[in-house]
Amino acid sequence: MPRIEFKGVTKTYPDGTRAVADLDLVVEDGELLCLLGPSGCGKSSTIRALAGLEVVSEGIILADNNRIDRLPPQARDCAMIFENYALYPHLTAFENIAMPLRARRLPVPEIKRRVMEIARILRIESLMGRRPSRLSGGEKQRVGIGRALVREPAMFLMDEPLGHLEAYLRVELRAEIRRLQERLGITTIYVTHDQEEAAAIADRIAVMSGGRLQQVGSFLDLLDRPVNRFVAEFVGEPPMVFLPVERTGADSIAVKGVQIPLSEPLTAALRATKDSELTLGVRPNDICVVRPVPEHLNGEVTLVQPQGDHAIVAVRTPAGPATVFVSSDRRPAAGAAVGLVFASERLYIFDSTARSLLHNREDSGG
Amino acid sequence: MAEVRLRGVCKRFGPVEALRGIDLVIPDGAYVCLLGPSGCGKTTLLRCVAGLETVDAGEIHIGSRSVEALEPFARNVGLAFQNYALYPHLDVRGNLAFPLHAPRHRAEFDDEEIEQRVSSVAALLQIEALLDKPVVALSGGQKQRVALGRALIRNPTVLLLDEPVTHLDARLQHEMRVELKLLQRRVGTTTIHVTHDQLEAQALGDLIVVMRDGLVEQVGAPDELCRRPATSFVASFVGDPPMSVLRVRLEREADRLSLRVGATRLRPGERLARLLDGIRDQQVEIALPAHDISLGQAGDVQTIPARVQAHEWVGRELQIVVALDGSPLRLRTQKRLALRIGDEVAIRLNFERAHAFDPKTGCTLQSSTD
Repeated sequence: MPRIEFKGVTKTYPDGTRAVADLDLVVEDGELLCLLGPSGCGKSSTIRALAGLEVVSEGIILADNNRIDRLPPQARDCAMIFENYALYPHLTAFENIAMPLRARRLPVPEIKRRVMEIARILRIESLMGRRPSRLSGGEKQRVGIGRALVREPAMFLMDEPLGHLEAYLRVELRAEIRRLQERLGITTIYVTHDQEEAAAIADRIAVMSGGRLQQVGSFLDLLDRPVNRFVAEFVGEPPMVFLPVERTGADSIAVKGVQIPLSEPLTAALRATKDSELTLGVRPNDICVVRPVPEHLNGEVTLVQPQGDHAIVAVRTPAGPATVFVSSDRRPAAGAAVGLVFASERLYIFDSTARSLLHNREDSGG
Repeated sequence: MAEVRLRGVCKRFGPVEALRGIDLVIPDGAYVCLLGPSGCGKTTLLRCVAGLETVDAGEIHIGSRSVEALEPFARNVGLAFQNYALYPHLDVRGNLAFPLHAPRHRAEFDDEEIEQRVSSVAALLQIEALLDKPVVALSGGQKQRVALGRALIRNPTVLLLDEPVTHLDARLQHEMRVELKLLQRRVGTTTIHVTHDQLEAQALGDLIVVMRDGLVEQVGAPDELCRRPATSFVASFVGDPPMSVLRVRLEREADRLSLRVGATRLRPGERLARLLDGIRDQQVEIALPAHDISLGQAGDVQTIPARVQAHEWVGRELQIVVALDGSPLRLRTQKRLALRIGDEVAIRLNFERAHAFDPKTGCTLQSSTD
């Protein structure tokens, strides 16, 4: 299975829209990489360019160091799966999956063996005689995946394959896709706008916004070391809490007059910038709810949502709304006055260009 | 606003018994979630309250009125569905006002009243800026707000919601949950919300009604369902993540009890042993919270070999599903492990907080005071 490399890939459509700008990205051999971003971020254009459904405007795409961006689509050996399954309605599930093998004129017993092998892996053996109209959405998508995989492609490209399915089916099928991908070891790019889905199945996640790659890393890398506010906000559920900050000195900040203790690295990063338009970022599980005292940022609980052994608590503060994760046995009631304390080791500060100060510092430090 | 009471409600579709005798009281002003897997009867129950289905037997009261024989509009319920069901040829204003224009009500609302109600419901849902837009131009979240506005415009006695956020993506679902709950607080209307998503039910419901196979399995506040599941089904369905249920064989040797899982014998610990004291059955179902299942070293006492079936990140934790004696067990760890599907791991079970159930009825073996 190949290692894929995008080098300076730009895709500009005839109307002037630049869907992808100067993309440098490596997908390792056998890896499952998620392209994650909101609609219009360029993630679909990226895999369409790899599949050969779009021509790249600038830059090159390599598979194992061989240039493939000028090859016709069929020579790239990609299997692509879309949100709509595009099954042939007049053919049975078996015939749909067998289609790519028939096209290659493989012997009938060989076709039968390979189709049933894929059907077994996807647990759809009993549906092989049915036409698409008699299959549920999840079953149709399994057949679609089977058809894409039966010819053992070098790369597997999926564009929001579970987008239209119900939540519980999405959870079930994504585990199935991961199982299949691990088993076959196929280099896979999976496009989604759902960070929960990306977290669940990806080896690494590439976050895109406005046609530009923002950051690549494991889910935990993105959670713990977001390079900018976009990544910090897009990854993690519930999203990071952002509060405007007053700069009270070279190495201190306050939120609505309340001094916020900072870690040593963050203090150093703060000292290194003169920017005064700063935003504090903190994740809901890095905030503690305490009794309100003047030294803390205080607020009122507006909503409590139990979730098993923890609860999601919404708090209205003078600096803006905050979401807090609280363990169930310590959760406050709606309407309660509370104080918020932030875990100083786990804070982020974003500058006026939305970059994380910690990231700037890492960059300059090499 | 009113209490909703159901007694012995049955509904059959041909050979399928969708509801098999539902007794339920939904308190005035409460937000109640009907929760269950697909096919459990939750949507049928909602449709019976709405009057979209007639009941075969039983009584439904909204407030002091018996409504089983009333037509839907006469029950004064507001309805919103998962697919929004907006009229594509009308703009937002037209969709909101639609229930007020329905022929039978023509005399009831004059133009001024309609205008006044549309603007107040639009303000409530913060969709004033969208009033003149065609509904096809709206995003999923906006459509759902319009559908909710339409459901509320006649000041219904009961608000009925069928999977109202299912079609939205994950982040929007979380945002809409917050909006729904705050909205219901503001208007105070008794609300019945059908969902298959137990985290959604926990986040929203003052009470959750867990349904299965046309029957009510348990009714309780979210915490109650997690702490005292009445059946092994509830234990395996509710929680983040839900508990894992496995069947174990009880073996007594010289008064010492051990639990047999596959080929392995485990000590139950004092608490569980006391709970199982006097149980005559050879088998029981044990439910364990995810955090009481952990990975141990192969060969350790009290561990059982199992195979990894799936692994995925959930927030900061790695969720691992293993197959143990045919049952899937879900555990979570903060460790960064490089696991592959099919790997063999050693599982350690902690029975400190285990729940035990009768394997025939699925009912809890705990007394309600335990």
